[in-house]
Amino acid sequence: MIHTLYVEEEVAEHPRTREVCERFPRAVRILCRRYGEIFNRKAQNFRLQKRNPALILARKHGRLVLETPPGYGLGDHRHFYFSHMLNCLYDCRYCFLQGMYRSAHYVLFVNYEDFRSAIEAKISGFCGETCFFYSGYDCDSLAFEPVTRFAENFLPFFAGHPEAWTEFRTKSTQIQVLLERKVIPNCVVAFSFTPLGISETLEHRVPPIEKRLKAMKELQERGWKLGLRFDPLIYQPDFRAHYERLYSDVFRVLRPEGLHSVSLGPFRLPKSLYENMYRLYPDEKLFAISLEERKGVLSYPRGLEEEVTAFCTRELLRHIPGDILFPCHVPA
Amino acid sequence: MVNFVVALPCEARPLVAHYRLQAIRGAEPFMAYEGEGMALIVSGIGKVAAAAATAFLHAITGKGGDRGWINAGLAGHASHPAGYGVLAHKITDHSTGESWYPQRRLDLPCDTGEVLTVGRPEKDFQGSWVYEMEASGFYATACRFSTSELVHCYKVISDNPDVPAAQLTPSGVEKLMQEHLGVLDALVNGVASQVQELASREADPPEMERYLSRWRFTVTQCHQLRRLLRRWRTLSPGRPAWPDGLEKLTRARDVLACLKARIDSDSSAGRVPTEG
Ligand code: SF4
Repeated sequence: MIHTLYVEEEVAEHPRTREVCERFPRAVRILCRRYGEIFNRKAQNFRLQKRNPALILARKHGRLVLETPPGYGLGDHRHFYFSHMLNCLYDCRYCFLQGMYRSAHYVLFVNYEDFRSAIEAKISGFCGETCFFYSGYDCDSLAFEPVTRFAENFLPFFAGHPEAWTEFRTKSTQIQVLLERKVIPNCVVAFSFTPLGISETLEHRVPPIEKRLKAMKELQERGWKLGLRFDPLIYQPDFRAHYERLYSDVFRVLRPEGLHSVSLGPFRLPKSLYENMYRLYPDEKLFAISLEERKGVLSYPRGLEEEVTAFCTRELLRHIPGDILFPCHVPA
Repeated sequence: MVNFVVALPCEARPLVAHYRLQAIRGAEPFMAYEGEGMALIVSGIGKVAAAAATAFLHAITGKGGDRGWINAGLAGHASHPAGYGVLAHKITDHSTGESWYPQRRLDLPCDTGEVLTVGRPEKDFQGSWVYEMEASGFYATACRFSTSELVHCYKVISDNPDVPAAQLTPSGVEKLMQEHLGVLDALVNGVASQVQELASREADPPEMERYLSRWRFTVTQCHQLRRLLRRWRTLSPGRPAWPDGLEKLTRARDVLACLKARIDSDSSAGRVPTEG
C-alpha cells in the first residue's frame, strides 16, 4: 500500500502519473522539483525507510539505455539495460540496491515513450547485431505491474521489433499481463531462485517458490520463452542438498526443452555496496561470514566459490543441455 | 534521546513541565533543559536562530549516534482553525526556494502538510502553506547530525485571517501547545523507539570492554575489533567470543589476527549456516 506519492512538477500532468495517482486515491500527493531532492539526499536510512516506502513519480533524463556491466548478459550479443524503476517491492537481503541507493522509496520514471525511443536508437545504431535489453536491473520487472503497467506498455513495443530481445527478470507471480496476450518470441521471462530455506530467510516478501513455479508452468504452457536465474548462489554447509532439492523441484514442474536460458552466478558484491549493506544489517549472517576481495568485488573465498559453482553447474547439467547454461563470470 | 527545538519560552513551558525537564546550567546564550532521554532548547525567532540553537544543543548534549529531533511551535494558515496540528511533510525556505521532505509518519493522529519558512511575520497567508519562521533552519541543521527519518517539525496553527497573531498572548500560546502534548508524546515515542533501534544496532559487543581492558588497541584496531566481535556474535551466538590461546598473546595486532583466523575457519569449515 502506498501512503505517500511524491510527484515531480514536470510530470504532474503526464497521463501515466494521473493513472498511478488514481490507483492510490487516499495517498498524500506531494509535489517536488526533481526526484533527487528526496531520493538522493544524504542522511537517509534505507532500512528504516524500507518499512514504509513512498512512491516517487519522475521523468528520467539523460542516458536512458546503458550497456550492462561485465558478466550480466547472456552470450556474445550486445547487452543493454534500462531502468524504468528504481528499488523493489521485495526485500532480498543480498540485493545490491540496498547498498546502492540511500533511499528505499520506489522511483517510477513515467516517460516510457522516451525509453522506447532510446531503445529504438540503439537497435538502429547496432543494426544487424543481436541486441538484448534487460529491464530488471534496478527493480523487479513484473512485481509492480498492476501499478506501473510496464509490461503492458513494452510488450507491444518489442513485438514490433523482432530483431531485438528483451528480458523481464522477476521473482513475482504477476503474469496476468503475459497470459492475456499473444506470445512474443523475442521476450524472455526470467525467474530467479534460491533454495527454500535460503529464500525464506533472505528473500523477504517474495512469493513462495511453488507459486513462482506454478506461474512459470502456466507461461511455459502458453509458449512463452522462459529463463532460470540461480544468481546469487548462496553457500551454506549443506548447500548440496538444498540445491539438489531446488533443481529437482524446478524440473519436476518445467520442461527443460522449453527453456531459453539458465544462468548462475556466485554471491558477490562491490566492496563499497557491501560496506553500506553491512552498516544497515550488521547482525546479518550473510555479511558476517568471511568474504574475499578480488578486484574490488567481495565474494566467497575462491575455493568455496568454485566448489559451490562447480556443484551447481554439474547438477544443472543433469537436467538441461549445456548450450543453454550461462555461468556468470566474476573478476578473477 | 530526543531533542526539542522551540522558538519561544511560552512554547517551551508546557513541554518543560510535561517532560519534567530541568534547566541546563551554562547553556547561555540559550535557555536549554534536559531530562530523562530528552533535551530542549529555546532558539528565539527565525531560521538562523533555529539553526544555531540546533547545533548548540547537539554540541552540549553529546555526540555519537543518531538522536531524534523535533521542532515544535506555532504557525499561521489561510484556512485551518486555531489549534489545528500539522506534521511537516515538506519544508520550503521562502528566501532560497529550497525544499526538504521530512518522512511522513503513519503512526500519528494528525495530518501532514507543507510548511513555508518565512523571514518575517506574515499576515497574508496563501494557498495551503503552513507559515512559520524556523523549520528550514532547524531541519537542514538537524539532518547533519541524525538520519532524516528521526527529524520532524510539528506546527500548531495559532493564527489565520480570523485570528490575527497580534491577539496571541503568552498564556494563549501555552494553552495551544498544551492541547497537543498527546500528539507530541506519540511523536516522541515513535522517534525514540527508532533511535533505540539504531543505537542497539551500533552498540559495542558485550565482550569489547574485556578486550579493551586487557590490550591496548589503536583507534583503527578498535574499529577492527568491534567488527570482528560483532561478526563472532552473529555467527556463533551464545559462544563466548574468546578463542582458546588468546590469553597468551601480548600484542593487540595478534589478538585481532587470532580472532579473524577463528572466524574465517568457522565460516569456511561450514559451521556457519546462512539460514535462520
Ligand atoms: S527481487 Fe531482485 S530487485 Fe527485488 S529485492 Fe530481490 S534481488 Fe532486489
